[in-house]
Amino acid sequence: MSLNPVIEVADLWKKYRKGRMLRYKSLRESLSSWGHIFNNAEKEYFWALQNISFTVPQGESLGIIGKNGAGKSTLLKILSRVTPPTKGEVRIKGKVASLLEVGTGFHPELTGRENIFFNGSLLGMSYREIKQRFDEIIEFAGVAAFTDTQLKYYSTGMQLRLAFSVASHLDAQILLIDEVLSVGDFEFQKKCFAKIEEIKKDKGKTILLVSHDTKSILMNTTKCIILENGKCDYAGPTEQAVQKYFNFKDLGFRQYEPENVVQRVVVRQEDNLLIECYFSFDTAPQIPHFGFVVSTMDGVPVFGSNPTIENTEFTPYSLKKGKITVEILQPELAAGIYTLSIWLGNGNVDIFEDRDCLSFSVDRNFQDSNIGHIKGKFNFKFENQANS
Amino acid sequence: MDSTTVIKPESSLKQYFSEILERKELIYFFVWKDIKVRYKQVSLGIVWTIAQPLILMLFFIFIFHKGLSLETAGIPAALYYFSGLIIWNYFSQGVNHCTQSIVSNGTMIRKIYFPRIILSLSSVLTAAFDFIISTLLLLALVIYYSYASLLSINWVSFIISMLLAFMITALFTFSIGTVLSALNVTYRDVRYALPFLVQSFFFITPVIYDSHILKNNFLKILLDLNPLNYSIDLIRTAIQSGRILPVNDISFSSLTVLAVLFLSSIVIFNRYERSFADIV
Repeated sequence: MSLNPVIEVADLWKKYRKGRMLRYKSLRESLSSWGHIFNNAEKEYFWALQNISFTVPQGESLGIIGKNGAGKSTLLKILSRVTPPTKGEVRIKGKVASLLEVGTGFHPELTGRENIFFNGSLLGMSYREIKQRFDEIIEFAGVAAFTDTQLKYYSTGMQLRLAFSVASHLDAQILLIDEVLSVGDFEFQKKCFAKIEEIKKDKGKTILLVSHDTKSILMNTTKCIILENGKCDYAGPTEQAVQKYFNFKDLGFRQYEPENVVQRVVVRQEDNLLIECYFSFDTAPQIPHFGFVVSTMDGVPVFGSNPTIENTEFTPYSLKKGKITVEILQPELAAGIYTLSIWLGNGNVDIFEDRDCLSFSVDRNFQDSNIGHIKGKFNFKFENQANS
Repeated sequence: MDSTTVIKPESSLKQYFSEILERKELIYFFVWKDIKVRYKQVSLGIVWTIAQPLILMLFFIFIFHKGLSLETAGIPAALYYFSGLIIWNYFSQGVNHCTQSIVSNGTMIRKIYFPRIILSLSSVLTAAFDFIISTLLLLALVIYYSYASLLSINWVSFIISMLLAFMITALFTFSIGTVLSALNVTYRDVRYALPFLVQSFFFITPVIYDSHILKNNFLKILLDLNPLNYSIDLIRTAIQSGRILPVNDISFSSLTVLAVLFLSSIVIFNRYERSFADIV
């Protein structure tokens, strides 16, 4: 890889006690459990991270994805030194700023100014640095008029903006970011993305981004690791990682068990975007019907249709095994990850339904608009296939 | 240009100390914040800090000196009790504050790294703010008594004794508080035991009685080992005879106790502090 790694993680393991609700204990519990140390010791623990190794060269952005509880936050906590590893070693070159949770240490009784100084110092800024960047921080957060107002009179949005602003003005070579991009209103989010963009342009800076938001992972990182149950499941280019994570197979591809009516669904990119659904009926439906919805990763439907809406001519011959192709004309989708939901029926009787059966990514930005320029014209085609 | 940070399961004391030095500004900011927050939330603010020890001092004079006719080592009763009270108040407030410091800052500990001992250090220093105000009151009393010609004070030895007493009390408070704060993370029983412990300790600290009149040998030994006894004695001796308490067996034993407590508290705290984020 690169000659200049700034983060080297070698064989990292982290063990936690089970039952987080009972993290601290009374003296009595502790005394009574001494007798059982040899019997139960191992059962009470689980490995939150197992054998994690990777290196991040200077200037690279690494994304970390995985389900809840996969160990993403634990990994960032170890890297930011909040918690020690159980085994293994990490070497970090340079100052680390962690945006694990912005606004930690904010006190409602203190004014905006006082909070900036305390929070800045807590995050590792020196008094001089805070003083130098004070105006910038205030301006970025857009709270200039409330500098000397107590924080308890700030709106939640203002507090979040101030918090992110302080954290993002840290002068660190390595940034650990956890889910902070979903902070605040739309305008402010754009500002945050711009800030990350700016940080990325500064070649010396290295970013580690943990997120559930595939869009920010795709936009902000070049490489990715997938964590699953504390183990590193994949490490490589972000595109592949995202595809793998959302499908655990190829992009825009879903294979079903043979007993299902639908055999597989494929999303392909040709001149237009194609959805192909391979099916196999025991008894051919009289009125084969296929509907679909394309949604964003947040579950917001972008578009969808079925042959009735599109006035597709009904094909009179009976279909037993074949393929339905939907051609999405002029799919001017913005770059990002989308999911496909399908429905198959006989007339309006349900035969098969699968929500978010697969996800696919669009990496070309057609327009500057938010989701895209959807013309909403679709071609449906039903065809029979010989038994193969 | 940039130093490499190595993160390992076990901690290195050397790296640890250099980090505390690096983050010394944060200690200041914690103290600053705590004092600010305290006085912003309380409407009477500093009046409490001034009134409490003074009122307690009046009680002591009334009950122990007038009521029970207890001796005050030949110095004015007000000065006698007040000098004991400022040391005791610093200790009890400091230990209380320090014991809670880790648990009450749990959210911070779970999110952000900084040497955790900064929390106990700064809580002991925050308590010193009250100590300083009380010292000014003591000073006012001393000035009043010397103007009224009831006392001739040697200012040099008085100031040196006050400084020594402060340092000894601060170190002792820090040592006890730090260990308790670490224990409090794992065992929440500490919070309930603490008031009892502090109260018990009051009886072997000569705030209301003169340590020199004790006859019981066991009690004498206990007091000799108590650094707070030494602190109070320093101030009272300076007021009484204008001397700095000579180095003797008592100072040796209590200072030894202090040194051992201080070092072991740091070692104990350092051993446990890395797991705070997982437990607190």
